[in-house]
Amino acid sequence: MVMQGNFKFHQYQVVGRHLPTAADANPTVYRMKVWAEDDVKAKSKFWYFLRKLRRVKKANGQIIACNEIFERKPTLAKNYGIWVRYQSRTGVHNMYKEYRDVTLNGSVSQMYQEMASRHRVRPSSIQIIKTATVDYHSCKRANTKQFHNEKISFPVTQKLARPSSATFRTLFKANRPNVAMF
Amino acid sequence: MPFKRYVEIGRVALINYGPEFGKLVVITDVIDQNRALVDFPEQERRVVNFKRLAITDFKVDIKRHAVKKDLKKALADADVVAKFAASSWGQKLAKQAAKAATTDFDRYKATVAKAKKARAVRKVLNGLKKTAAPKKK
Amino acid sequence: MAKPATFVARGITAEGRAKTYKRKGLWAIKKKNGGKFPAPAKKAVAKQAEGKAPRFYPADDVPKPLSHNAVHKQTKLRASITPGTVLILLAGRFKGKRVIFLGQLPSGLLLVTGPFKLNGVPVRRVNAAYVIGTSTKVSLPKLDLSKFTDSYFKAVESKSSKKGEKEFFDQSEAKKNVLSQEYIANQKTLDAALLPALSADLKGYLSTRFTLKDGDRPHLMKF
Repeated sequence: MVMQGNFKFHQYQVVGRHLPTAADANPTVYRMKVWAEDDVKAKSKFWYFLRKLRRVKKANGQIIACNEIFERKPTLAKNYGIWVRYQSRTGVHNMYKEYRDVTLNGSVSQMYQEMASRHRVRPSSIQIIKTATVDYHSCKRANTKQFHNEKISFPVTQKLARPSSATFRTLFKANRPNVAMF
Repeated sequence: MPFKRYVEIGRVALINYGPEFGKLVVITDVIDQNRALVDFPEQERRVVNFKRLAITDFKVDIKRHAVKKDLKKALADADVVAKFAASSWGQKLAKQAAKAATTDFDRYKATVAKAKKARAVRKVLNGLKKTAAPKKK
Repeated sequence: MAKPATFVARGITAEGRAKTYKRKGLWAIKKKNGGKFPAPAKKAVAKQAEGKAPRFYPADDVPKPLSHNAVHKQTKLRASITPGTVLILLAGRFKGKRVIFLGQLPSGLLLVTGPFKLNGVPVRRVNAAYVIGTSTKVSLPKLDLSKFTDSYFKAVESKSSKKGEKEFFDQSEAKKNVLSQEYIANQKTLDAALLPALSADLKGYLSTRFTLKDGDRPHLMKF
């Protein structure tokens, strides 16, 4: 299985619960999927969300498991929908984003990039509410829908004139490159 | 001048940058305006940016995300690999590869052959010059 | 008894080597022992009674020679260099010459020959670091290389006497370094054995020098 891309954010599944007490010998176990750079940060993210949602903190809780989740089919193009909540300079906003990619991690990185460029939002102020692979007829955004046509056909209008490898790169050329792609 | 080569599902392209330089691939799906899923028999299906793809004139009849078996059959039916190798583009690539693979001994033999040919040409040319030259008064 | 030395600074005596020699009266010692310094008699190391540690640690450090455990292993050649490989010499008088590799000597150096008849490179030793191994191989006939040992190539030491003015200007005595008949004969027999194994192409190849021309990129070339 080919792993597509070198992602900054990986998906982790973190499982944790409140420490057993005399009152509750079997506390509820919570499972959460989070995106983080590594498993340490994933656990930290888990506690961040859990203490907002339930009366469990890292001080009185325990992590049961932390595993990385990998894409099941990284050789298949899919449409990913991502629901996010982010803190802007003025307030909190919810948003739905749609991306085409082969991995969920890839689409999450696309989302972080887009949020940074369009809204100047850093990853730390973004919370991913939900992700899903979206069926082609449930897609909302024109930018994803345009690639659903099986008879898609478009030219590559600009050729990147460059040598076969960076080692062959030269600063000066004898001839102007032909970048027309007819 | 209109465009002749289009990004399409089934379009044969050539990877023109990086470690996979010179490999032929078939576009099996378009992910977005920058990337395509490409595939080929004996290769893994993977994502390649259009910046690294040079689109060829050839197209095979496959469905989106075609399985290896169908891809193989479509390629064999269209005889793409042989046709590309016979095209001037393919011939150029083959020549470049052959030249890069020459050993020191091969290069010596080529120099000798070149000199030998030049000598033969010069001999004929000098002979012609002599006959064509106006006679001295 | 010698006078104590006067020190300019710590560790630096006021007097030089010659003065110190005199001050210490070393000349007298030398004279007494017939023009030589007496070699200190080797002290017999007193054997320790077994099972009994000395009562005190020695006041001074006893210098202990370092053990030489390193085993001299022969240089390992890269895979491309096998007997019969055509090599390109990179340094020295014969740089650029293409030569045939005959075998590795116990010293680790490569035994190589032009052959002399083709390009003027005699049987000589070269360091593997100064050589490009090509992919061209010559199928070597059976050769007797027993003569070509490391000692065979050791230069004969020439006795250099101090030249006076007279000898310096007297050119007639300057002798040319004449090769021994045996050396020449060895080369000839080796060449005679090698040459029939080479095709006309290979002969031409070996007799030309390797050069780099404009636009050549040696790190990208195949050899």
